[in-house]
Amino acid sequence: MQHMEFKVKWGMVIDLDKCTGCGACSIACRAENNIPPMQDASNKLRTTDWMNIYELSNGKKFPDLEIAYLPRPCMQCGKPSCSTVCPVVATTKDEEGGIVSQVYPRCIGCRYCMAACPYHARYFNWFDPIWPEGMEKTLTPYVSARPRGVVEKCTFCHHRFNAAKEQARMSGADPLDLPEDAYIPACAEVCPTGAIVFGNLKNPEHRVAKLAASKYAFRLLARLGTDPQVYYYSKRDWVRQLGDNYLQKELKGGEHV
Amino acid sequence: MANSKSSVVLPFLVGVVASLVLGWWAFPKVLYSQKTQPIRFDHVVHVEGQAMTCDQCHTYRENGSYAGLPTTAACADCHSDVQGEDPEEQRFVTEYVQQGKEVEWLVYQYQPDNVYFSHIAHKDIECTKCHLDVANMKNPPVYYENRISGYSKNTMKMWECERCHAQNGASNACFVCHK
Amino acid sequence: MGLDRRSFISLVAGGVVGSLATPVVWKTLDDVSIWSQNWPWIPRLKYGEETLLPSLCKLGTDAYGVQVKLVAGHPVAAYGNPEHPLSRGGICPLGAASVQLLYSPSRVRSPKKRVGNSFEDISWEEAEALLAEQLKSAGKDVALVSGDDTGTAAEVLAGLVAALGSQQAYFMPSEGAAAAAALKLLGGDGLVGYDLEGADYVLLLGADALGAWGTTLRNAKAFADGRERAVRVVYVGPAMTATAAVADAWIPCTPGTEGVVAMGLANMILERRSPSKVAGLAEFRKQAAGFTPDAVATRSGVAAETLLGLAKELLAAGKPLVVPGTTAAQGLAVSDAAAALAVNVLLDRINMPGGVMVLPWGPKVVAAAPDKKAMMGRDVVGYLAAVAAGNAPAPKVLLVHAANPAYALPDLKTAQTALDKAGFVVSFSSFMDETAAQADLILPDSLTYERYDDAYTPYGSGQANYTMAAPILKQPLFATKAAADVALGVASKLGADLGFASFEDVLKAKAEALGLDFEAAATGSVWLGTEFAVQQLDLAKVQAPASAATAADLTLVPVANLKIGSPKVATPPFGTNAISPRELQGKDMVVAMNAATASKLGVRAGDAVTLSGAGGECRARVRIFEGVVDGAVMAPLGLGHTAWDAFSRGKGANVFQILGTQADVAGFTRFATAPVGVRKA
Repeated sequence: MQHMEFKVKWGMVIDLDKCTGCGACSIACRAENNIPPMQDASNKLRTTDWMNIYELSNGKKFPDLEIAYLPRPCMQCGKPSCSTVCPVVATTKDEEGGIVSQVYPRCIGCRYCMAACPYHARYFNWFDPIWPEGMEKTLTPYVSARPRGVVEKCTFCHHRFNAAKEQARMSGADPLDLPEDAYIPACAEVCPTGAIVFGNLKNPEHRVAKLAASKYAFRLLARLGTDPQVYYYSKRDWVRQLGDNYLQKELKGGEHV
Repeated sequence: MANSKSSVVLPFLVGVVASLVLGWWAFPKVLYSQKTQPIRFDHVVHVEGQAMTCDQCHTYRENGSYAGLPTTAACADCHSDVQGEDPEEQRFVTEYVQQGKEVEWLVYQYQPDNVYFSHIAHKDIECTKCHLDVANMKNPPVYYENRISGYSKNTMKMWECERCHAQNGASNACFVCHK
Repeated sequence: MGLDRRSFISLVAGGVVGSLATPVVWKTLDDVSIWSQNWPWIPRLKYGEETLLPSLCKLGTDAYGVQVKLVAGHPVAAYGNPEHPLSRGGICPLGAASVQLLYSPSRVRSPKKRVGNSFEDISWEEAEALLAEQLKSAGKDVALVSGDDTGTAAEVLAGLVAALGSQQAYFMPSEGAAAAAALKLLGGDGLVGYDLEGADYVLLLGADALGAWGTTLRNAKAFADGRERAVRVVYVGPAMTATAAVADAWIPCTPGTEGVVAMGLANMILERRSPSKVAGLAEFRKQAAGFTPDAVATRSGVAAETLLGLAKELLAAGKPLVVPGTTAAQGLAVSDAAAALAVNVLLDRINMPGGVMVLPWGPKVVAAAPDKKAMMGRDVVGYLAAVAAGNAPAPKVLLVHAANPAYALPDLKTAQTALDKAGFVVSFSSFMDETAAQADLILPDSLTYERYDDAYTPYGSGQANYTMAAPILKQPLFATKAAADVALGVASKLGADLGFASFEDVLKAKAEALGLDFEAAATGSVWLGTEFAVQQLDLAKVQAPASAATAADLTLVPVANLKIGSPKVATPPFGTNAISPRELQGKDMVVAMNAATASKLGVRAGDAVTLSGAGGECRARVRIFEGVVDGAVMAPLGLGHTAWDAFSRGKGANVFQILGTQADVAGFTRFATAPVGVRKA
């Protein structure tokens, strides 16, 4: 599939030196995007968490251990591995802003995209979406409830992008030139330490663009060439090094095992 | 065996014609159930009689989202008491306004939850391009509900949205319309 | 002329061919595929006008402003409130799940009366009559345990208890109470606060400020802002907590020795700088002299040069701040708090920008109620232990409000014995928590979003503040009633009129007492106090802290974690996914220890173990985590519920079961750490 360039590139920079792993982003995401609750969420192969939080460690012994928490939304890759393998065009990267779409009624649940995604950002609905009695009244109008058997993922709260465009149109502004903070996903909005910064990576005035350009910014598995629109930020060398950590004893380019 | 030829062709043609009739005439009748609006709302009396404009009831909210059909509270701005002779108005006042209930209007252009539509993005297009021209109707049209899918007969199909977008150079990206 | 078989087949064939030119097949296929997209058991979304209303989240030990989003008048999500000084747009994991919690399966949907081993739904009239009857026959033998130490509701309930002639009104344990007791010990008077926003160097002695300690969300914002200003944050504590993970430095110390570290720092500071105008300095100097770098190193495991480094950093900083606390966000030793306070005094950081702020006790409006100061000065753990041991009379009626003492108290067995001894237990819980499950009468409180609520200066706030929340729902979702309204009603029934007809009226009086417009307060206006009481602190009163559990080979370090729950609420339905395998695996709680400790104990990663402590035993699985000091076992608080609902029940173990207590100064109990035994299960 041809690689598309956009005028606006929504992006995120997550400051791993500020994330405490509290989990508020993940839960706010669940409420915002109508992800049903799970009574038993201990089997992480069956859970759905658009925003998943990992713990990283420098692997050292006490007392030299350091840890960092890594929240993982969908990377909204510039060159997504998922959309190219979808047999039914249920996931695409074709809209201004560069958010990778996921259309639930079209998805056939083959899960090729899950196998293709190197970030484990995609989730399969193993169960029917059932809320405890009455709790379905707290569903937001933003995202349709997904049936069992389809794949879903973080959409950068795409509905908020739509809402920001509506607001811009209402006030006579350009919907494709949104001011900073006119559109931010729920996770970024509620983060207590402000570790998640969101904006247009192509607008040099936006904080994300500045942070992404920092020497402390990095992307996960950048060498795969997926060109993610999610950046991470850490002043700790070991954290940045883990971002592209494939093998402990990696061979240099050109060698084969 | 003399009439063996006609006994094949004629029944075949009869079969074709019969199924065409059934398929084009009877099938739609069976497929859709007919429903009427809970209140016989008369647009003409509002538009011509009271010289109201569409956007007095069908408004945008401050955030640019579309309020769509007015709430009972909005109707009650005028209809807190019965205004005229129409028994339907009287019913509306007693059954909805006085009881603080919302009218479960049937929406002809109903779209399912997985579709997002922004009215303000389409505000330069004539309403009647997509909606029935109810402004000129004294009686609300019959609502046809598909017995299989549950959707309104007037629900716009995806190809219709896509065609118009394509013709007007608007994006047909999935997330423009899906949620 | 009959239709022969050939003609019939021909007719059918014609029909089939013809039908392909009609919409029958194609339309049906299309409609069936659409039908399959909308199964009837998949909920449909509701649309309508969106509004944002301000409210409060008091589900953790904190209290802060939130905004609730309503669609067509129905709440759908909670966000932080950018206008609120204690959240500034942030939200905690419990707050993020709070709207859905309204429909939690464990909500008590109507009053219930115990009949044998089960409950019977009763009407509010009957329930209130029963409460009045029980209170009447109990006379003065009434007690109250409330977990709402910021709200006026507790004042109303304490007023009821006092009006009936009882002094037995208690708050659940809190660090705020321990800090206030430490201040009192030094001759001060007020609530203790920390101006984190103004400090340029923050030394956290155990306080998991970004985890669940104090004004967690405000701490987080202050931390993030501080990063921009290069404010150095150093965390001293036994485990790699959320705070330690992002602090500029983590200095591990033996569990429960943060006070010892504070005294060591005091000693070093005094060697380098002799402050003027500090009362009791000579006596304190003598006390501190015992805490030589070597002695501190032996007891706390903090090397002498590390300690010296800290002391130098404190002395070099313009606006240093030392904050005592615990990973459990409760059970802090008063002596530890006093030692940290002493360091702040030596650095001249009391009521200074970026320092320790002494905040006024809030106004009291229910005349009959005891002063909050008096209530916070009482120790519920000690009281229940005395009741259990028969050293204090068991109350004939025990009112439990916004608290779950049958789950969230140390030395749990003792607390439960005391609850069993109480004649008639009344729970005002909104949820079927452990206390409600064993109560004789449940009078379900409405949740904050369904009623009036308020919060005065949650512990840690840098300045006094008051937030009120008006109900965002026109009426409660179920047959619940605000506990304060129930108390006001029953008080007047018993002829002990508290002077108010409704809780709303109480809050009107409170707003007036603070000089605040009620309407403005009810719509989200926050009152901020700017006065700080002049304090004459006397360091002679500081009692040298003992290390907790010094004799133990192995110490339990419980860590409060808001995504698992709080002393008030169990894991909400929307919280289960956020719990990681580092805390819960299957049905087993996960406890962490470092490799050295594990090998000493002969256990390996993934092993099932039995933890034993003061009150009993519990099961856990071992995780090898190098972020725990030698000889310590880190365990998550908030698991192991036995009541509630399927989202929290039967998952992991309740650490309070094995958490022993230790007597502390000023009649308090310390329990932030405790000795523990570990053996293979």
